[in-house]
Amino acid sequence: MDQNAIDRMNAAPDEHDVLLDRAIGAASSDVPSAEEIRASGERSWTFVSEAINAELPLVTDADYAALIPAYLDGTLSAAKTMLVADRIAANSAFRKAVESARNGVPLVSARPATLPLPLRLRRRPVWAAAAAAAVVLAAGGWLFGRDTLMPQRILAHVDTIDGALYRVGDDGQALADGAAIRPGERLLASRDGGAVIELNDGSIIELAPRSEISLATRWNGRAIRLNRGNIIVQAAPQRDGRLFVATDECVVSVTGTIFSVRHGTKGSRVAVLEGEVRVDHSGERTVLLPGQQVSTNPSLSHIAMQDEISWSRDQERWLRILEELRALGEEIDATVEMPAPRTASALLDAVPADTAAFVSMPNLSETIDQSYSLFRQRVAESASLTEWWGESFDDPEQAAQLDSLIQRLGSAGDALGDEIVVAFAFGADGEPDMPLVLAEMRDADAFRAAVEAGVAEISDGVEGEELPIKWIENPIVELAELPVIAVDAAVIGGGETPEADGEAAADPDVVEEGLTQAVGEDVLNLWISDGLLIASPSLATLARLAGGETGIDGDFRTRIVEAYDDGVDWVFALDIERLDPLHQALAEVGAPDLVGLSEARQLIVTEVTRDGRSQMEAGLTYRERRVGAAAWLGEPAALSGLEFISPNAHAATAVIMERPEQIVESLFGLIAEAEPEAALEPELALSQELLSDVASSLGGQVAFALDGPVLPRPSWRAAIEVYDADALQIALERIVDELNTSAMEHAPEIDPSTPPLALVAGTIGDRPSWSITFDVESGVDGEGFEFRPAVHYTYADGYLIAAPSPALVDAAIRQRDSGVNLGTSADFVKALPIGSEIDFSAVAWQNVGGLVEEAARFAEEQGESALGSSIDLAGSLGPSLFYAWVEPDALRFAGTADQSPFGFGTLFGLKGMSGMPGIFEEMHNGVDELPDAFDAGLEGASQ
Amino acid sequence: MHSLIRTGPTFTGPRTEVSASNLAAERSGGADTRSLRGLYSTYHADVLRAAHRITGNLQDAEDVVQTIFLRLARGGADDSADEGARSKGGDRSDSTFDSDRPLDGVMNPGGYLQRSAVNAALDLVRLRGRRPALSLEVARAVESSAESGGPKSVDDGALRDRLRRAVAALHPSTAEIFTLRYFEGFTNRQIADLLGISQSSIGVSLHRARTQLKRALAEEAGG
Repeated sequence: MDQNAIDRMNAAPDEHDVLLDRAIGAASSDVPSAEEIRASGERSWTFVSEAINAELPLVTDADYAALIPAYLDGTLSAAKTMLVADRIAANSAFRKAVESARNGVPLVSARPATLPLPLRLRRRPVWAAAAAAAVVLAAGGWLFGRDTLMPQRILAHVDTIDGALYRVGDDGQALADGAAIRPGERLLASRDGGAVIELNDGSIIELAPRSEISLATRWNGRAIRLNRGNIIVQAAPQRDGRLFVATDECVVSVTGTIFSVRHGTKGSRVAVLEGEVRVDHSGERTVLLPGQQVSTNPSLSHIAMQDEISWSRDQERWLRILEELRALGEEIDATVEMPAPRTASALLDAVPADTAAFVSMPNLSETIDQSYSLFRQRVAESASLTEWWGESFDDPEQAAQLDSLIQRLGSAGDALGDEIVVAFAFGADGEPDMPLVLAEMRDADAFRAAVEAGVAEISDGVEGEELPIKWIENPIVELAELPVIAVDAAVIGGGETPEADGEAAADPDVVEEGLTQAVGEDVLNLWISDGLLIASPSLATLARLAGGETGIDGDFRTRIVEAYDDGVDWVFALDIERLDPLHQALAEVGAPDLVGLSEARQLIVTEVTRDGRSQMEAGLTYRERRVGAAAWLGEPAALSGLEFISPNAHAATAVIMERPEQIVESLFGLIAEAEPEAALEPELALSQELLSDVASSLGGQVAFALDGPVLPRPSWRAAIEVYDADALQIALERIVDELNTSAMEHAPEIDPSTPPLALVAGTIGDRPSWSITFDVESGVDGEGFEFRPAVHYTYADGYLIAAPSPALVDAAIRQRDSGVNLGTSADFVKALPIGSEIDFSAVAWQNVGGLVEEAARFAEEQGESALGSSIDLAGSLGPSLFYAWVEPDALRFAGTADQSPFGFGTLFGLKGMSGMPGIFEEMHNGVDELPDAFDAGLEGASQ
Repeated sequence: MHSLIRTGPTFTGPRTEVSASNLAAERSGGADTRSLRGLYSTYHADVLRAAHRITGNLQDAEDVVQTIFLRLARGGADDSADEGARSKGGDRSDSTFDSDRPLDGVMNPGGYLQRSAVNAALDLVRLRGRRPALSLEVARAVESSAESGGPKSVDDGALRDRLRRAVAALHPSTAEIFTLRYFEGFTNRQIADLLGISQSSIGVSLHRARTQLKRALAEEAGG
């Protein structure tokens, strides 16, 4: 809307009210005549009653299921089609059944269930929308309404055909340039050339030869189904929704980017050329940046981007852009300085006293400013990047707007201190308040000027609403002036308000306006006070702060102050005790409280980057002592189990358990809780007894590693601390006996002389050893060669050492004797935390770089050479280490931040390949897109 | 037809609360107001009119009528309506559904059906609005009518078409509340009861709707 229209509206509100009321009058009196109503009533009743007659046999789910084939063929009567469509819309199980029938294979499963957070976030429009979207996603599924009821709708046109493009189906019709494509039509590119298809939204799909796709619309966007082959998608910016590409194994979703999807017998592989892409597969979500790939099948190796898109007509161009962006990302990493870590927060005293969540982040305005300058400079220097950047904008003016927006952001940011805090509190009613943003104010005039200039510019230049920002002088006074207070009192006091049909004593518009302002829905209130910037959509929250209810204290404060001690970039602190809704939600769900949240007090997560190394640390503290699974971990000690593991291990984990019997008890306790009847079964009781015997003979330490050659069969080794080797040996022998007995009871055809499990004594070196051999059918490979998986073990120095072969058991013992092992290796020591801890309760180590290298070598030996490039990729995956340690009342984790569950760094894509170009591109759609980007970041961060 | 996807009605009460007296008070339609046929003859005109006010054409309004009564005949509630029913304590699983008396357990069948009509019709208009060809056509029509003079001179037909599009562009729940209030003449109190939310939320929604609609009308008029 242009400024004139705004002015007109502000200047003459009456005129617009009159216009609206006239429109309302015109619309509400626009009804059919009595004769039309009568005739229509007869027509509709005929239709409805016929449909009901058609429905009569449709009573059970099976009745409906029987109609699916005819429905998909389009041979069902109109009335039954409508009934089936209605059921598809209404019943998610049926919807899935239809989708399975349509594709032959079910789609990717729904996302895992999440905590009912939406309950708590109801009052925030953006969050609520995101939460609602998540709920709908979780419910899963495609809506067919539009496609099934409007099958003739045109979704796309053929742009170019190199060889031939067929419409698969009854006639296998060859399509010509410009042909229209409708929902559900399967399109197959011939073997001698690909094709290019343009969707209505401007997105381009390039099909490789022999690729087959179909198109559909979903409730939340457009969808391409890749049945087989390889496509490159240049997604146009999606205005309302996302663009999806689905294969049998995964769903890819984007808002505007370029990527490739390949789907074959072994699975699917997605590779990104530009922008950001989400891939959902096997219940997991991966976010990919340019140059990254993901496969749905671990045995489907990554290949070089050149190879993935070698068939594309634009190959050279893509590669050039990709390479330049990669170099640019590295340059930004190397040259742009991140703000220094902070060791204290002045804002702790300024947030509300009842703050339940405290998030502190660095003021990145300067970093963004510098990165962007560098970015624009390099874009200007490169012809291909200039062209690419130009294509990203419909209108060159948008690029100028983005330049200016970043500049404004920079100058507003410069006026603030180096820390920005977001705080959430809970109001007196137990409901969460609107969020509050705080920062130190260095230069109030400059800040005000920058914000006002930015607002004016955006309001003027961007289609849509103006930015709703309001400067507050004194929140208490301004809140008191709102008429809503009186109404609220009436509502709270008597239940009945004097309001009659919207005509209250006061002007209802004014009352509503007041309500909106106080609760905070659509204006951001900015208040500069005592050298601080305080911003919140809720005036009431600001007023409480002005009333002096500030400053976190008590334990929560102590924990946050401690978190800052070693220097931090990001802090996320949660006062779990204040989260009544969370506890209630947990109680309602009735889920077993595995980590003992009901007894937890605070969760503090920090991230800091020093010398290019990022470290994440999380601590969960409890009221008195750790409970639930958190109580299983033992006090930190030297992890001597690691001594049996070589420095070359691909992955290793070592854990100290508090009391192994306790774990067995808790596990069976959980089973008993969940299935009280099953717990009475004699077999279960026997299992518990046997496992308790094993557990009570063990010490507290366990180490397990993938160590040694992985192919053709993985080499692993385990070291388990044993207090009573004789008792353990007896318990193991009993377990083998019982398992054999039980197996033979279930399968009488087994020959008792060759039981499925064989426990045989032998020697390894000069030590007595045992082997347990499993006689299982799956051990027969394709060549008819039978191999029997086995575990060999012996006892050494208070440990049981187990591995799949005697040689590996021997190697583990010699490893320990040599004094050279994983725990002392340079890579491992380098990955240890910066803090003061010496010992840990648990560690997890990965160094899969070597693993991929080995796989590539093996593949080459086997004559499969396409894997060479994966070594480059593996080189970029450095080793990483996660560690946990416990204190009597706390559980702490730490590790490499890039892979931390919170991933603050990746939230703004400021590391590695630096999602910077992608972020800038996101921003070009204007600030109205930013909440989406933020949500996407949050969503990504929560993975 | 898209209207099949979304649901309107979520307000159902426990069956035990339905008494002969409040049924009789509901309408003077007599004993048959609870069978499908009875509900149809009593309410189809209301439903058609409600749908027509929103869609502005008889064909679409008729689609809405058919969708709603067919859904009712089938056992009504889809996933989300079920949810609403349960939250009100009126669990209506398929096994207990009585197709002869489709709205037993609903205290206010008229409100229920009108709300269904409003939502189904809004869905239909939203669906139409997404078709680029149509919206372009409409935009041109509006442009030409706007060129002929200021806001005052726009004829009522063009004005109500604009309003319909603007209403459909509102947030779905806001659109529903606005339509019930201003097209169907429900009071805030009645809407609050029907939707199970507080009157003050209704007030805020209506205010927001009016502000957005005024802006939308002014914007089109101003070009």
